[in-house]
Amino acid sequence: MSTAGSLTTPQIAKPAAGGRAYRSSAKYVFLVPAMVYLLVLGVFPLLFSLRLVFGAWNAGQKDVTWVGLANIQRLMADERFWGSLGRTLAFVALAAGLELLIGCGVALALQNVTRGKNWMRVAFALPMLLPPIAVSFTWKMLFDYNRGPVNYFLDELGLPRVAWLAGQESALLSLVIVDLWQWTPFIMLAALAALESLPVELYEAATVDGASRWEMLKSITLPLIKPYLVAIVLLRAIDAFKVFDTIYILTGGGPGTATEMLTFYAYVAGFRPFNMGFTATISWAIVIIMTFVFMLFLRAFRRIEES
Amino acid sequence: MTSDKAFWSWIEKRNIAREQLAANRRTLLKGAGAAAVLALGGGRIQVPGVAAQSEPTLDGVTLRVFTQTGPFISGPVKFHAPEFKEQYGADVQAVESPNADLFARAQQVAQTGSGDFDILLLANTWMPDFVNLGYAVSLQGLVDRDIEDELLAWDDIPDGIKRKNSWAGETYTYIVDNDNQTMFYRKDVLSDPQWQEAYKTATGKDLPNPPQTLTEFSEVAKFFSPNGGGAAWSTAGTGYGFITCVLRGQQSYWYSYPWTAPYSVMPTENAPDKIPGIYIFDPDMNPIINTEGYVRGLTEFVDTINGAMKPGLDSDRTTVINDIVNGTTLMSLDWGDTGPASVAEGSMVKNLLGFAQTPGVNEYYDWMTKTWVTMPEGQIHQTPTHAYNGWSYYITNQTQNQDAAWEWIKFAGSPGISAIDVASADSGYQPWRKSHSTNLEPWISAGWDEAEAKTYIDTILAATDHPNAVFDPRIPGAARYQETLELYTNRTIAGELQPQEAMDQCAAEFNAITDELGRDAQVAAYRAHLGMSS
Repeated sequence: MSTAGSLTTPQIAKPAAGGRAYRSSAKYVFLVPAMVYLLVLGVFPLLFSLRLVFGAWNAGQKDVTWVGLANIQRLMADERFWGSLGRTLAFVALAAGLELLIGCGVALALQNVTRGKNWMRVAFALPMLLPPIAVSFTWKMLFDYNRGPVNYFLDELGLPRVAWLAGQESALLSLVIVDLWQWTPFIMLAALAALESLPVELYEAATVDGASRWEMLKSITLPLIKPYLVAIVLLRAIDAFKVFDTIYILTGGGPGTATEMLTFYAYVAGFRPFNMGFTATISWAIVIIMTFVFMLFLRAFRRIEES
Repeated sequence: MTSDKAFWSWIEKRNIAREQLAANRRTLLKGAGAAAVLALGGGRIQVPGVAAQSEPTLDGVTLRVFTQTGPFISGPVKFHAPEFKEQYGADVQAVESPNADLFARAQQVAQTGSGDFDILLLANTWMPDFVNLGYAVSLQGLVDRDIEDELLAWDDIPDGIKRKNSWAGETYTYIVDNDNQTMFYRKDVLSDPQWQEAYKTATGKDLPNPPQTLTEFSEVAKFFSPNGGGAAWSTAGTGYGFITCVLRGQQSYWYSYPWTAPYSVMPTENAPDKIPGIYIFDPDMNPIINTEGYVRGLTEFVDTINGAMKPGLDSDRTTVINDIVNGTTLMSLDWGDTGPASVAEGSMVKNLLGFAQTPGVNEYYDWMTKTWVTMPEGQIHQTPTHAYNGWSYYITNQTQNQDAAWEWIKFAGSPGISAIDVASADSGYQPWRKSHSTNLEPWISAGWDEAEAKTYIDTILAATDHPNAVFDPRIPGAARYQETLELYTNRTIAGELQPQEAMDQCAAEFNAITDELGRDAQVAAYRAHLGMSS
């Protein structure tokens, strides 16, 4: 029957083959926006900044010129770079270390609180929710030598005034205080969550065995939450390493170079006067240093896990 | 919050001023200033029956002006834009950026051409960086074409402003501000017989009113501070003799100019080729900041900060103005903004401030012969400093509407419009036209006493055309040199380094920058800035 001939399979199979090809190429088409996004906003800037490390791109200069290792040599010879690196490490150690101690202390104190714990969590978290710029302006007013409330209370207590933002040591300490105020709650909340996840049975068994609270803290609590704490401190350290807005508002890197840390150094030495080759070099140095510090942390983290 | 309030209060005040002056729009643009020029014998300018004159039609044109975040500086652009639209048909939009990032943003835009700006309203000192890129176009042809235009009022512009507008013999900018530095002092205190007697008793010297030299200035400042025993002069709280900007990144090096220039800038008549204002570098771009003269000025600056300023070392530019206006500090060496602020609402010092040239010196350092030169008896060597050189309009090579951009610039800088702007406490502009000294109506409207206003304006204009006027160096990479000088000035103020040590290190960095940017090209550019032939 001629009707059989009209129902030929090739007519059906043809679109199926086309569909497979279409489906096969479609997945690439759908990937294009993401690829373009990645290339334009990720890969290209990365490669361009790497190119700038070996180039000079200054104000009034249209093209990037090749300067070889000059930017790297200048960076290595610049005592401001090493000074800012030292200050950054000191800031990170002080801020993250003190936040860990205070945050854990508050978390341990809150662990056994039964009423109002959620309210306390919210109250403690408030500083974290504020924009750093607003926090910095508030602290700038608080630390004002002549009109600030902090020195007013020192006066009332009969203590000498402190040049919070103008002293060679006190300026860095002031930045640490602001960081502590804003970010200790982060450590506290994370540590509290870790403490609440610990198995109760261990404490019950220890109590039966007559262990004191200190022994339980030393032998059960701390070893169990150690991996969490390392991860939390790692996150805080990375964040503290990148501190910028607080310095920008509070001290501008001064007095002198007393609070000039790596990110701010990159900004004032390179970006603001439009010396982009040098800015890129400092930025890559920061990336390398941070990667190194991150790897040290990971190594410590692995050791703790193994032990 | 405060900025918004200030901005709207400023808008309100200026609306009143505009209504008062707006009987005829063209007359407003030319203002009483044009008439004043006639009175001064400017000759070329006339005040014709302008109502019949046809206006250029710029319907459909939009001009984008890149400048600093307001209310200061960009405020006048936004304020006058509707009027320009009404009169010329073109829209004017202000595109703003915070001051600290302004140079980097502007350079990024200039190098990539990405900003699509028709006009820049930026620092005069950045001129070579825009000119080298070809981003700022020469205005010379437009000036030559419109030299008779009443809005341009060319003869009403002081020579000092014209010099700052030009580079290598060409006009590239149009200044609408006058960033020279002035001495502000409490004339009521310095003329008070009781304080004159107290000063004589304490120091054995007559109280200068006002101080003529930096040494006198420093001595007076220290006396009227708690350590000097004269702090009770202030009725608003503990009095201090001096205030300046010391916070890092807040322009402290510009505040050191009035201290370092008198000792290190030679009188024009004794300078090489009689070139005025050779400062920071000699004509071959060798730094002279580590010579004895500059270092002495810096040492006295730091010494006066330590001996006469309120403690805390945390003052920024706003503090400098506020502490004078709230009556707790006796003297400052600052840009002119303190003047209009002193008559604004809330001021404790209305009509109590004196205005004078920044102090001079009895001896200066000749960096060519490396000797100190003592001025003849009764003469003082003064070197009025221009820091930033004034907010300046540029036209970019990106614009498709060069004529419209030029019309806007002439409009915004016309004698009438500029007279209103410079009298406002919130514009950030200081008097720069000759006619600002005679067209005092906007000043009286702003609350000034007529005689006080005239003294203030004349002091600023005298610094503009002073034979020893010192302009902020306009060289490629100016921002890098400024950033370096700022760092070492601040390290000296903070006590990290001694003045000589700091300036030696700064000079070494200056040389490294010059070498990196190309010494020959930098020397040529610097000579162009100085107005030298080669």
